Amino acid sequence: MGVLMLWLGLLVLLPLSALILRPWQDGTAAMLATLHDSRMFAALGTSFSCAALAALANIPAGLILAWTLARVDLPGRRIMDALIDLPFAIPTAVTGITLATLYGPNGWIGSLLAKIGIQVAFTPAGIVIALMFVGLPFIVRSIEPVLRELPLDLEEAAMLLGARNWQIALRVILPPLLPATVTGFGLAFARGIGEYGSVIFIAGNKPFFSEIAPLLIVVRLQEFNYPGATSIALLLLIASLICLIAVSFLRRHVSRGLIVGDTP
Amino acid sequence: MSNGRTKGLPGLSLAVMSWMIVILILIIPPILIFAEALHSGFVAAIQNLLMPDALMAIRLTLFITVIAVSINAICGTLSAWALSKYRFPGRALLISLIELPISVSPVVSGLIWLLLFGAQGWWGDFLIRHNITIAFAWPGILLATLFVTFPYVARTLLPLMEQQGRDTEEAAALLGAGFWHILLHITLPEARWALVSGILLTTARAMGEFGAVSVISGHIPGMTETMPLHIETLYNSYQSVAAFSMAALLAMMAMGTVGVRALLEARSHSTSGVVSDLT
Amino acid sequence: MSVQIDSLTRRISGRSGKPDQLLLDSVSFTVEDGSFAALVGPSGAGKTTLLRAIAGLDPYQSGHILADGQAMENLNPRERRIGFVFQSYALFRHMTVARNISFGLDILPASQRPSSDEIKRRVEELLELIGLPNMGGAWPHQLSGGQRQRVALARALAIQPRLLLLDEPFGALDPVVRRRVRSWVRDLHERLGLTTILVTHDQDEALAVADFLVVMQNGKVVQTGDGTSLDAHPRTPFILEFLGETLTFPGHCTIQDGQAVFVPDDANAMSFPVSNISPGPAEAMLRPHEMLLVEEKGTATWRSLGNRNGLSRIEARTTEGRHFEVLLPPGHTPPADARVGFDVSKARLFRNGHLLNVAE
Repeated sequence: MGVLMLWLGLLVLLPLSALILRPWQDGTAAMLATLHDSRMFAALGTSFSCAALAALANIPAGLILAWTLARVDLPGRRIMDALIDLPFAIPTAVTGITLATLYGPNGWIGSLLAKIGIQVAFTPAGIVIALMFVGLPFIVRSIEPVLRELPLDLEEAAMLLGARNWQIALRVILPPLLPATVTGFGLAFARGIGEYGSVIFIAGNKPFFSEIAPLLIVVRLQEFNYPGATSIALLLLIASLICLIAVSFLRRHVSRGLIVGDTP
Repeated sequence: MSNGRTKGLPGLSLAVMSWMIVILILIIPPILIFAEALHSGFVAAIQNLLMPDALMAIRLTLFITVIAVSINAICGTLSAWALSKYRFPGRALLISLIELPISVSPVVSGLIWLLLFGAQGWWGDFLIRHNITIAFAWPGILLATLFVTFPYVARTLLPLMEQQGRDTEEAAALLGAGFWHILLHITLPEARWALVSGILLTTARAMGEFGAVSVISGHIPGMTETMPLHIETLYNSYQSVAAFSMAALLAMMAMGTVGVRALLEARSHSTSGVVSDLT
Repeated sequence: MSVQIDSLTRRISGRSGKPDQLLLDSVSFTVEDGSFAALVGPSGAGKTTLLRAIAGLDPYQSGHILADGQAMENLNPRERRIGFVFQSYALFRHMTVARNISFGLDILPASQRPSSDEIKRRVEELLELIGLPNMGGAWPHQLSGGQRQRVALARALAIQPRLLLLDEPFGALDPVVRRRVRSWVRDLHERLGLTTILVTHDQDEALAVADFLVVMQNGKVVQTGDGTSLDAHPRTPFILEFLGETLTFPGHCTIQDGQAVFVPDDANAMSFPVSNISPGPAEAMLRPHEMLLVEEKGTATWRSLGNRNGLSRIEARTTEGRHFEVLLPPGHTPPADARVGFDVSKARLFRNGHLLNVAE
């Protein structure tokens, strides 16, 4: 018990309390002054909107992948299963330079997109691409177990009642997957707003355009503007905590059967 | 006279779409890493890794990883044990606190240590007076890495230890076994796969951590640059081949660690992927 | 509609060198229009496999399924108009009871779909039929097992099926509810006249609801017929044993005084005359209520065990230590003597697993 408290206290509580207390150290007025920073709000806006967009775009891909993993018994399924976790296994800095090169003007995909007049690198679109890569496993791994548990006889019952495949997908399969999908979205979003390494190389980091909040923290630190850095950090922390609390709340209620009902 | 398949929705078209997504999003990037690294040939890639700054970065990363993993493995095991065997008020809060670092932005994870030990930090003056360097030196990097990899061992062990229950341990205690004896000879052997799995996960994270370390390290080449930081430096100075050589090495190390873990899990017939442990 | 199953065979290839396994082995039988058939047999007999094949959910390699004489093979399962009630009920948990029931109508293309008022009326009718009026707004998880079962049935009936298939529908219910739902299903069948096929491993259930039994074992149909004829003329000892408790007396057939008789090995059991049976070993099997206790014909002892369903239960014990329970038919009083013999002349005789004759 003692070890636990010491370890937890020194490594987690102490530094986090610094984060929470530090902004108020120079007085409330100073704290509030840091909030009058349009560049900060632009960066937070970029982070939040790109994270939301990426998580949203991942939902259809995540549903298809989860379906294939849970239901389709084809050779190579195990390989696909392992590949899903790849974004987690590759260090973020490696992901960052790889995606920046891939989607850069001379990159394999970037040069193709350039031909049709689309520029991804150094724009918010690049941020979304990077966050999609990082967030995909969260969506797939949230949906897959629920799909695996979903009894096959529901689909069979619907089919015998005359439902076509798209009707089965839309009316019978997707509704029970909704809570898991929202969970996956929340996790990917929470990860996305804090993501740093995989994004900064591809983002271009132009203030008011493609600058993400974590990068602005680093910029403020380089300017020795600790209060500015700290208030962004605090806002980011609060946002991701709200996300995770919402997700765990949703989970508890799903497991209690308030949303899809308990198992018969 | 077969009347055809009817196992759920048509699988084939969805599987084809899945593989297209996997190839586009998940397979092309790793291929690019190695293609870029070997752009000027294998020898050049190796030579890049043997540059003094590169060697320093590799050594620093290994050093930090070993220490961080050891500390978190020991403390994580003891904490998981305490949390699984005792019920006390505030236990759920403690578990959430242990998991907290997962949801903190890496940059924030680095920043908090600067707030304590940086020149403008709470104890900055004290440290300067006593000539102790933590920020912009390896102790700071270690602290940031410790924070980021804090949850993994405890998280993987906790569910398993809760399942184990106290029966065997109580039986051992009745036979006169002491605390350490029980932990080392009864509890841990039963949980050894989860422990190994948690340690491997911690290792992969420790090696690859970028944001947190970046904030507190100061980026001094040959001094406070870990492998991910050195990759950034090389990339930003347009040494693409060198950057990707280092990236390929780091990716292989991390993917290898995660791969070993996946193999272990397949053997101990647990099906959860890496991410399921995170969420 | 009538359903004709014609030498249906399903084979799955054995894994790692094991021989192929026959899940269905040239299964043939006919279910008449409007009748209530039960596929009955121990678990693993292929009952559910067969039911799912009829619905079009599972494939088969050879044979035919004919509906009113027409092949079903070319019909997609969704076009077969078959009502199927799953063992797990398979209710859609995210829909209310009413939405569950109307599902089959809601998904029809707009040109064929009844108006929403009409659908609403039909749902109310069905709710009335299953005895759950005003429950349309409830969610499946708020219902008891028996209620879910009836909702599943109403959902299957909503599409006005030509055939109703029930897969172990009472399996998950507790005994009291099971008996109630069972007789309700029987009533419903009589009211609607819908051809129904039920799968069950419980012979009592099959005898209680169905008017036609298909007894299956190891993927084969062993015998078909109604309960009475199966009981009177069981083709194999398995059928007799499966349909209820049996008493078995090994023995042999011989000729005594020019008359063929069966002589049980047990000295307490009396020989009885048989016809058209060649001499040799045989087994006599009969129901506990068919055996009579006869005074002064043997040395077995007996004691009363009380009553069951109005029949007195008697435990008989031979001097060799064999003991079994018999039921005295109504009107028979327990013997006065403490020593009794057994009259087993109502037994069916089997040799090498096949029926020899039937006692009159």
